[in-house]
Amino acid sequence: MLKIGSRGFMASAAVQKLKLILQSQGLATFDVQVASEANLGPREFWPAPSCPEGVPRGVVVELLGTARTEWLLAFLKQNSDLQIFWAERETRILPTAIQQRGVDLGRVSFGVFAHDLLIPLRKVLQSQCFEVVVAPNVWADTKIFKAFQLFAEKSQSTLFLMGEREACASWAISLQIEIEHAHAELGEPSNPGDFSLKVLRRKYGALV
Amino acid sequence: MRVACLWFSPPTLSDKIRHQMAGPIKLQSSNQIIGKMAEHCLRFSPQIAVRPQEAVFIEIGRCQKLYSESSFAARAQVLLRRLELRASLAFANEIPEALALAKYGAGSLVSLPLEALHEFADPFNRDFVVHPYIDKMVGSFQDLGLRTLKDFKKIPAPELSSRFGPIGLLCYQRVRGEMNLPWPRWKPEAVIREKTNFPCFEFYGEMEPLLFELKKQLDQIFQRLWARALKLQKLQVRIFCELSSQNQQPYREFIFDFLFAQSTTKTALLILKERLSRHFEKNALLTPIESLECTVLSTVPGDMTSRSLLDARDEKNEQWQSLMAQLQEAYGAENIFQAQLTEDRRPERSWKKVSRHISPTSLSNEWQGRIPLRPTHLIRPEPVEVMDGFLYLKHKSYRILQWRAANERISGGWFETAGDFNNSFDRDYYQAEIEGGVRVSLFQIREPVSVFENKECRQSEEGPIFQGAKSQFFLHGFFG
Repeated sequence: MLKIGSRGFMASAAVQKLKLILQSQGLATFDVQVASEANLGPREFWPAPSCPEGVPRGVVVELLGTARTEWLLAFLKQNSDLQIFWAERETRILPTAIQQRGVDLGRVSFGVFAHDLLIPLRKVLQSQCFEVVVAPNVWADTKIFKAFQLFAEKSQSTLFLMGEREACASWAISLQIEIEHAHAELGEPSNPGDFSLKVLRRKYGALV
Repeated sequence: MRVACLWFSPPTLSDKIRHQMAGPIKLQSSNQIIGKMAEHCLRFSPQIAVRPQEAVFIEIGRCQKLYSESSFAARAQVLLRRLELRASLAFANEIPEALALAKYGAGSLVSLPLEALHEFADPFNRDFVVHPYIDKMVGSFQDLGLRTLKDFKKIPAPELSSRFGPIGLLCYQRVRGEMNLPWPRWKPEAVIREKTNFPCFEFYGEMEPLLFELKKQLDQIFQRLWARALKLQKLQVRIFCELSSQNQQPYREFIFDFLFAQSTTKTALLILKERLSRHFEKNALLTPIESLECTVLSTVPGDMTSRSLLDARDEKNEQWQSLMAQLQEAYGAENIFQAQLTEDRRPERSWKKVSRHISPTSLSNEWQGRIPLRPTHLIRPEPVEVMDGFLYLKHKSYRILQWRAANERISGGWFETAGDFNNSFDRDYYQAEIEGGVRVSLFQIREPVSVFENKECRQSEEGPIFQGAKSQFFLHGFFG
């Protein structure tokens, strides 16, 4: 079994090529040091609460669970230099709550798209103005997720899709996390350790 | 003083034919061309003068730290190419000399022909009386065998004044550079307008050719604005169509009041495209377009400083502005916004939509510590019933796992007119965790209690226990 990178990051295209060469040479087991020391993993990871591997940049992430927004706000607080676009079908998110959780509202732009979310999201991702784009997950077609994945990868933005019930089965989603409150008391601000994370799927990271 | 002169030779017949064959005709007189060129030259120097229909003078002596004569010549060439114009350029210390050098294409003053005295006597072409006298004077000199200004300079001044009067002396002094010429004031046009007519190029409002023409006009407009150190805030676009029994409207008008002042064609054109494509989807053009006109209605001062190559913040900010403007154009200003906190304690009114976020003041920092933690999502208040450890919402029951007693009481607004809910501004807020781990925010409307009613409520760890009557609760939001 091949493992790439000392921190457990998945191989990039360059590392994949190297892996194939090593495999063809029968040296597949030595690539751990090669990948980690040569720092060939180009994908950037942002630190995230209760998630030591972090969140990769330029991918589609689906968040599920009852504490997903709280966790996302804690993530945005932790990464205070990210610009955020928050798309919704109707205005539900409370900006006051965002500010209360330590995220500067100057970093957040909101968009309410009642009918079509696809076109505005494509525009937002292609503009490369925002490192983080948040939107509800209202799709089921893999083609759409694949398109989002390509746009996100090109613009180096991470698209957080807020799943409602079940995890989406599309392979184009790189990271799926189910987040619940761990033990925080009602009405108390959440701390990074207050979340219970269950990683349902992860590419570009340690194999689960 | 150092003067650059751009001399525009009058168009030949072949030029006119070539221009007409090219397609849409821009009805521009020579004066308009000169005016436009002078306007573009404002980027080089604020001191500009024009000779009607023929030349533009730019004072560049005070800008020599910004550019050299050679770099000015290169920039002027680029500008002329962009405007599809041809002109000859000359530099000199005085306006008449620069004009004569540019007009006759001579390398130095002494090699200029005697006919150049016309330019020396009347460089701005305003004195029509003087030219017959100069013609007579030049004829006399040519009879005497003088050919160039080198010969003219050798003539003693007293002889000139006695034979040719003050005009001869004026020419003599200007050729020798002994007389300073005041610069007449030139002002750019008050209204920036670009119009293109389509006499033979017919199209019925297809987007692509229309955008193609709009881009050309916007390019011109933004160059003119840039020269004046301005940005575009409000633009009027008018599409003139042929009149017929089907089409009674002479033109269609679009007013673009941009969210952020525009400085480039690329971003402005995207916004125009959004509006026009939506308009033509609903209201197709029935007759061919005759002309297209763009008029600048209002401007704002622009930043003319050079961009830092190492700092991409300005560029990113422009991209952001462009995106927000496009989205607002497509989805409405009320749907694309940033948020700013207010002093209102009601969660639904604790923030307001703004086009651009202003940095939080000390007020919000102070406010932040005093207000209990708000739910992340807010909904329209939904009536629920809370009884015996259960929460009833839309005929479904949810077991309450955790209950936090009223942590906030807000009231007021008696001076306001009735809003969404009667007595909505008199609430006690509770938080609860229901089955499934969902944390919700509820409020209870406090009704005035009559002394004859026996409505008691006490708190317990499982939740409120009401005796005698159901209490009116509203679900107002949820956490996470």
